[in-house]
Amino acid sequence: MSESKHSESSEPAPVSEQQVREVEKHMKKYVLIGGVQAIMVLIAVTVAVNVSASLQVLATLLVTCVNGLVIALILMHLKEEKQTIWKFLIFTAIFFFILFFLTYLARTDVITQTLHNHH
Amino acid sequence: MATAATTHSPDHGHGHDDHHDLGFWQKYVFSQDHKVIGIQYGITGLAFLFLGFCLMMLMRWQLAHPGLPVPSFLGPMLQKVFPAIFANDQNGHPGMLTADGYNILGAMHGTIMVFFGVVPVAVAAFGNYVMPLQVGAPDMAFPKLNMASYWTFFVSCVIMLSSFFVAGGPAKSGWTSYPPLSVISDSGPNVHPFFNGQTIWLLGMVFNITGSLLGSINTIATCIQLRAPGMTWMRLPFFCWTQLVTAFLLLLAFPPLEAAGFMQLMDRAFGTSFFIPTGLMVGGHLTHWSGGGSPLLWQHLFWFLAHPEVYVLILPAIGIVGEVIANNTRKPLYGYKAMVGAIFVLGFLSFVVWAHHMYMTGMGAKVSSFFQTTTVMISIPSVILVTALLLSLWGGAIRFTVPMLFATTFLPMFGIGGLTGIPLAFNSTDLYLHDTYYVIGHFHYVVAPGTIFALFAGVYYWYPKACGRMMNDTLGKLHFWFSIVFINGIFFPMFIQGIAGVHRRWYDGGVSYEQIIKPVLHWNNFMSASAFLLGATQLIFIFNFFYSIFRGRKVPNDNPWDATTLEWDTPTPPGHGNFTKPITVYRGPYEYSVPGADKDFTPQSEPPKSDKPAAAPTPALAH
Amino acid sequence: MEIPHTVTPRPDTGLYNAKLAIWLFLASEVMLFGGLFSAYAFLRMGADDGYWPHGLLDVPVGTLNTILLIISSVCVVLAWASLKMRRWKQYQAFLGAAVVLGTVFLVIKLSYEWNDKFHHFGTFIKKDKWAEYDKYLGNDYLAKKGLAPRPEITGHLHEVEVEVAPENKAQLDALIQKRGLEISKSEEGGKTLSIKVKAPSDAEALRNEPGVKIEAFEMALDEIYTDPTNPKYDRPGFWKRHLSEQVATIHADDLDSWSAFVPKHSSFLAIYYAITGLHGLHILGGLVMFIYFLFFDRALYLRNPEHMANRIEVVGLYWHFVDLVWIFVFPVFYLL
Repeated sequence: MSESKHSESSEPAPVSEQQVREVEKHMKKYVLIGGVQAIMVLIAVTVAVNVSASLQVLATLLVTCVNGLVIALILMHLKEEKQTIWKFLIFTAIFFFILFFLTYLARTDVITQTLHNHH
Repeated sequence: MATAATTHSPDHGHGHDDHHDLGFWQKYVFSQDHKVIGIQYGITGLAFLFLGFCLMMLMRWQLAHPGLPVPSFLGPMLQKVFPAIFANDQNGHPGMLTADGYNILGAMHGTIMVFFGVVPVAVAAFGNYVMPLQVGAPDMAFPKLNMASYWTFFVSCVIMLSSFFVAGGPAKSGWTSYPPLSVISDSGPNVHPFFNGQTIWLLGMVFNITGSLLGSINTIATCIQLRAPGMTWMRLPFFCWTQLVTAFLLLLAFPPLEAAGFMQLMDRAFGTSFFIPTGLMVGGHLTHWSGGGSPLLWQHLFWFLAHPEVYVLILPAIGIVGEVIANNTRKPLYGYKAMVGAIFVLGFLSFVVWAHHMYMTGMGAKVSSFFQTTTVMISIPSVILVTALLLSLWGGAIRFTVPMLFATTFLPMFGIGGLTGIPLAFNSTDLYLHDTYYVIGHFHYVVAPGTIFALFAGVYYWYPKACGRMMNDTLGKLHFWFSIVFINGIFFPMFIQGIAGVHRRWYDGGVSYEQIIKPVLHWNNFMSASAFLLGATQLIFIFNFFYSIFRGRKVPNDNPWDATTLEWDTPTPPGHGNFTKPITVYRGPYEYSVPGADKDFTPQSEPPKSDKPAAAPTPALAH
Repeated sequence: MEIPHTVTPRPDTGLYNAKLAIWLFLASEVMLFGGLFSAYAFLRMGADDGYWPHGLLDVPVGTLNTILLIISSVCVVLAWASLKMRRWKQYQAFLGAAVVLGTVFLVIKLSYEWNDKFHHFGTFIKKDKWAEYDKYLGNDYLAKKGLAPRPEITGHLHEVEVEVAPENKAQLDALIQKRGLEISKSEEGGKTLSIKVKAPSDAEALRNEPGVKIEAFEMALDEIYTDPTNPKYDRPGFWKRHLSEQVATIHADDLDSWSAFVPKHSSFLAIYYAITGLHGLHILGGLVMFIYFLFFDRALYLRNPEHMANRIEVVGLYWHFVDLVWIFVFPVFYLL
């Protein structure tokens, strides 16, 4: 553990020039990613408003998924994340999709279908 | 018996700790020490188990003696305290369980036993107390979070208990809270629009779930991050594996139920229609809901949690049984690696079997077939686990200590519970058995003489570590033998009744259907008598538990069972910070009776002799 | 004994404790929102034709909010980078900006978006009465074009016509007085009243009043219902619904249900409020943590700046996740 030896009032020791340059390079990347995301949101809006109704849902969700991946991989550093985290996130993703299986189950249910027919 | 280890003084552990000046409140009440929190969970959970059992005894009174008031002073007293549950009988005597009251007790028995009894003891108490010790950690990874989990849980307990005292009584729509019943119950002019049974139930569950989530994060982080040097994954005691998988189940299965809980809260408080279908009629009148929802949505989200929940109940129990069996057979667990693999498969599959609780909802043949297949598949890892534990007994020099009695009994009891589940996995047989006492018998064999017996094994096994004294052996054996007889007296006749068609929700025990079920009706008396005797038997345990704190035989050393795992390397009881010396692990968890060793157990922390290779044999290959 | 790996990563996993824990927490959050989103899909797929509204929400405002969250998300990661360079002032500036942006997001959400809905009014017409209201609904036209029908008439509620039993008249008068409402018309000796209401909640109060039966609503129509056969309304609009001058009378007996745009209005609004409400709570939680780290955690920075940077990294991961959820909430509710 690298506890700082400085007294309570003074600032922590500065980090090396090289590390500062490294971090600053990353900061530029983050700003760029923010811009990319904003543009992708606008693309999603444009797609949703203009694409024909049959493709609208698919196309908008596709753009959104790409946007979401950008956040997860770059802003949340998942790209460089450790194996342990990837492992349980993959399982989480699988269970997440299993959860969506129930939308299919809804369609096969006899009872709700009957109710809908009587509306 | 091998050479005794020395007894460390408990204060020694405190010497290493910065916070040894904690006052009473911080030390015993708002403690951040995983062991104190574990004990808090344990006591709260055991108290709830007893409360849940008492609710069941009242139900069993009604089933055996329909319409008769609860005897002696109890009936009038209960009616005074719980006017929503009891009423006067035909002759004006107070203390008769009402039909609504019966539903209340049923709903609360299930809720309390599962969410407030077994899970807190199996997962939170043993997980908190034992798991960090076994991995060689000084505490849980996040002590403050740990405290927060307990107090969140405690708030949920208070909320849930408070529902017994509101107008209309507590939740009465089953522990599954199926809508639309649960959405329309506890409403109307005589109950508070918000502080009523079902709404409080939902609120309590939301807190309970939040507490569980925080706890499971802590457990996983501890298990992954705080393992002592040398504690590789394959040297991890089996109990820790079960806790790890259990924590993942809680972490990923509970949130959908929390979401569903929010939605049902909105249905009740804001009049939304998440679970209310279009055109719902109640009492011949169209309801005012906008409709468009589906009761099935709740069932899916509920069972998405509640099936993994079954494995949350059973996995830690299997973990405890594994520890106790290895210790008392004086040999390694048979097939340790296969068992670890099996619990992972079990954990994964438990997420894809949930709709086997819903065969009767008319999901359609395709969906039913899918869930039937996965359900049958999940029996494979369960059988691997039980078989491995059974084979672990083979050729062992078994010491029938009290924990071992409970642990060995777990095997046939869990076996009966599991095997009677197979007819329920199949669609065609389930259609007949659904909602009969057969189902009750099946899952109670898994959780009552299964899980709860394993919990007793755990209490008797780790009690000396926590208290520095052994529990009384004679009383323990009495507790065991009476329990095993009476518990089978309750649950076995349920199979007989269930196959004969006795429905699980008959409030009068089936008297109104006497023509159909006459040959099995008399079992009600037998089962209820067994239940009361089982309740009385638990007084032996309660007495023993408290008596032994003060009068029990003092432990001869820090490792009274001659065990190998790390929790026995700590002082008795362990101080804040657990270990008095840096711990390094050199070998697998169950090095019992290693040929050539000078004693019949080799603790994980014992360094290898210099003339032997450092690598420890894997336990699976040791025999 | 100290708990190991609170700041420095454990060699074999490469993680410090809190990093692992926050990802575990986010995994459970994925399942929490997963439960809600799957409920969304379940309800939407189960909805009858025309009963799942499109274009109900204000897209430009939603887009603005989305972009605010994206910027705040970038600010948080920049704040973390500033700590890595040991620039406290810069860190404060970036995290402060994130707090401001998050607050603006919440204010827009609650005081504009939600509030606007609480004042909007909708009436679902019974299917067998659609023909009577076709000049507003345009369902003949929609059926010919093969489009989904419109079951609902929306707008702003002006007046409620009620019939009151004589014995409940006094009580009703007291209610009108208490809520400061105005009676515009009184017939049959006060048996039928037209009451000017200020908000749909007044109508709810009248519904719950014993002895009072609501007969009809007078409401100013949203533009779309004044010209329902105009092809420009064939696809749902994406901008704020414009109110027209035209007033329509709708009889309560012709309705399946009526309410303001509150959660109980429809499955769509129910799940909309559930998800955006829960998301808003997450924003609130994040803001509380930000404020703590901004103003009350400098001691830790001075003692152990790396630990502080870790904290911001962890809370940043949480904030990015909240942003990520919104990235999906936005199209799912506003656009599709």
